[in-house]
Amino acid sequence: MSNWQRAAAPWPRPDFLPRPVRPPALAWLCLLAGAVALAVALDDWLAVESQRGDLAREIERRQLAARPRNAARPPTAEASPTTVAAAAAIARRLEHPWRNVFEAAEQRPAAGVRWLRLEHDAERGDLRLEGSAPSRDAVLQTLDALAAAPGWREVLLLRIESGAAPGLPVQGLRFEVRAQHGGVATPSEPR
Amino acid sequence: MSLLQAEQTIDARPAARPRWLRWPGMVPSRTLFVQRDTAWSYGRGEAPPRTFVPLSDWAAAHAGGSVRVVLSGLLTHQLVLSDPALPIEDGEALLAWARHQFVHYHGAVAERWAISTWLNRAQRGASAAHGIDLDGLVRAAGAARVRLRAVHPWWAVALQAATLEAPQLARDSRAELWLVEGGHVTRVVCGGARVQQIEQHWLERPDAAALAALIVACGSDRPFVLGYGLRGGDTATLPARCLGTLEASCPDVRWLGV
Repeated sequence: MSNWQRAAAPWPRPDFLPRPVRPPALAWLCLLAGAVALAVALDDWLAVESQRGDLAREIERRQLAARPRNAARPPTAEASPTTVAAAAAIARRLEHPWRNVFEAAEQRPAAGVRWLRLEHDAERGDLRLEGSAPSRDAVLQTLDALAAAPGWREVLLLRIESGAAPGLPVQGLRFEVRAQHGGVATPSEPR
Repeated sequence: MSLLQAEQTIDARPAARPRWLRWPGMVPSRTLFVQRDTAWSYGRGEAPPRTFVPLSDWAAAHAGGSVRVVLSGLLTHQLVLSDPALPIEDGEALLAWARHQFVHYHGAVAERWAISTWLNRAQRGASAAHGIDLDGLVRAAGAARVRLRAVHPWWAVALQAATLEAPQLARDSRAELWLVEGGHVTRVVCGGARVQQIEQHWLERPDAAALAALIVACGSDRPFVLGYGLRGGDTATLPARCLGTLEASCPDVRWLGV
């Protein structure tokens, strides 16, 4: 530090170099006022924003409360074991070789045979056919044809009876056949 | 680097890092006393000063350094606003008043002078640099990467420095400091720690007898005298208190606040 700066005497110090202009006190005051106003505005905005969020949550809560209790719940991914089992059963039944079942009933190996009833249990693979035939030979032919059809086993003649049933020819025979479907592994084997 | 170049560069510390990275104290600061055609470069703890003739040589020699410029009294005019009733309160009004006064006394050429005003408590005044192209000085400094710290008139620097050795200047109700520069004298009248008046006079001859005659003519009571450039005569017989010798060819380093 030079003597010039250290000297205590309050003499003037003219300097020909332009000094950087110092902002007047009013400028600092304006800056301060602006900063305060900005801070207040920010605080207000934060308060309003917080209130808005509270109101939005309140509205949502009330809307939820006003909704009926039994309103359809959106489907969930959860499923109980019974539901899964039922769905699996349905899927199994859909995959059952229905074509074989109906083809077994459709074939008419003997003339005059008419089917009166068809009963099939997809779970057990049990097929019951009830029909009428003009003669005993026609019944046997039908049984043989069914036994020869692919996928069917244990073809049994459960009963055969003659008699006049309402709506049947007097001389006809009524018979009932049971067959077990065992060709699940080849459900759609071509004939 | 040749010996000649080493001599020409005063602030010989090479700028190892860019200027903006250097610590302010790392830049050696020098004081340049500027006369009409000559400049004297002062460094702390260094004597005597280096001379630059012509003046334009100084910038390259101080490249990368920091310089405080002190203008000789022959390059400046002074005004002191002594009337306390004049309603001049701020720098702009003072500058306008000073410009008007300088133009009034020196003609239209004063409209181009650089003017520095000073308001210090009740002291108000102005200095005008008339004998030097200050813009050119600043440009030369910029081109040589010289940082100009300030440009002061010598009377202000010398008054500050002289007060350290002659506290009466700031203490007495009336005290005078005479700055002798050859045949040119700057008379600073102080009173009550305020600058009351600044006058500039020319001696008939640059010697002690002419100075003594001027002191008597001005009616000064044993002023403090410092300066340089007197030729001949016995300064011991002056009706004044001499601060150092007056016969040197440049100001003593003490009177430049180095």
